[in-house]
Amino acid sequence: MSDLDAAFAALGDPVRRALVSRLAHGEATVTELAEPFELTQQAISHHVGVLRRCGLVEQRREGTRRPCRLRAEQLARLGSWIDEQRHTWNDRLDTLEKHLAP
Amino acid sequence: MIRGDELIAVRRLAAPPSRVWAAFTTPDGIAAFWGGSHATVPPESVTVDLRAGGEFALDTVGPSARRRLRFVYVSVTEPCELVFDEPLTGLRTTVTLRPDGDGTDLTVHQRGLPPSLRTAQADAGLASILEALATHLEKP
Repeated sequence: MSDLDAAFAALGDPVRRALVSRLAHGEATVTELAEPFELTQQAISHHVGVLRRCGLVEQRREGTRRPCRLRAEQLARLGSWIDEQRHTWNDRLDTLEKHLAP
Repeated sequence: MIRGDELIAVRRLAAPPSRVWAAFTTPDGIAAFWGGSHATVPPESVTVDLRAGGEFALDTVGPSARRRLRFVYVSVTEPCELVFDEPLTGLRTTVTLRPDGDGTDLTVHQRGLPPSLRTAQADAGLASILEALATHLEKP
């Protein structure tokens, strides 16, 4: 749940949503990601860093290139977020039931 | 019910609303169950300021991490309804308690999505991201 919280918080920003949408179409470097935006590469790097820390994006090294890739499995989990919430709460209420048992 | 709310859980508990309320609103009660089966909540980590605008916070200690969770009470109606927000996600949870014989019917509702993700611009919303993802995953 914790990384989902972070992922939702990360996607609260329109630039980061746009970056995720772009990466859904394939890998891209920070330079390539920055092209459509009126933002510096440093600013894009910062946003990519936020997306990396919450597990939505990973970055690897290929010589001098550092392409970013969307971690599809993490994004897919966001799609089943309601299911996650139900699971968390049902587990919590199981524990509550035991706690309240006479 | 607010539109867009999701029914998350319904449970009949074999305890009167006053005991269920205490479990949700006292440090010892919260510590006893909030972590579920996967995490523990140290009782000394729980703080409760039980009033609208007050905060409750706790540490969950799981196999790999210790996290501080913070929530802010939106409304406190003892012993039948508790509404709280999680500022980090913007997620609002409503816990409703109804007496049922010698027990309690408990329901948990949550807003379907944090407001930060409910954007009027469909092209920038989560739905479009998930659509793009689906397209991406369909590629050979």
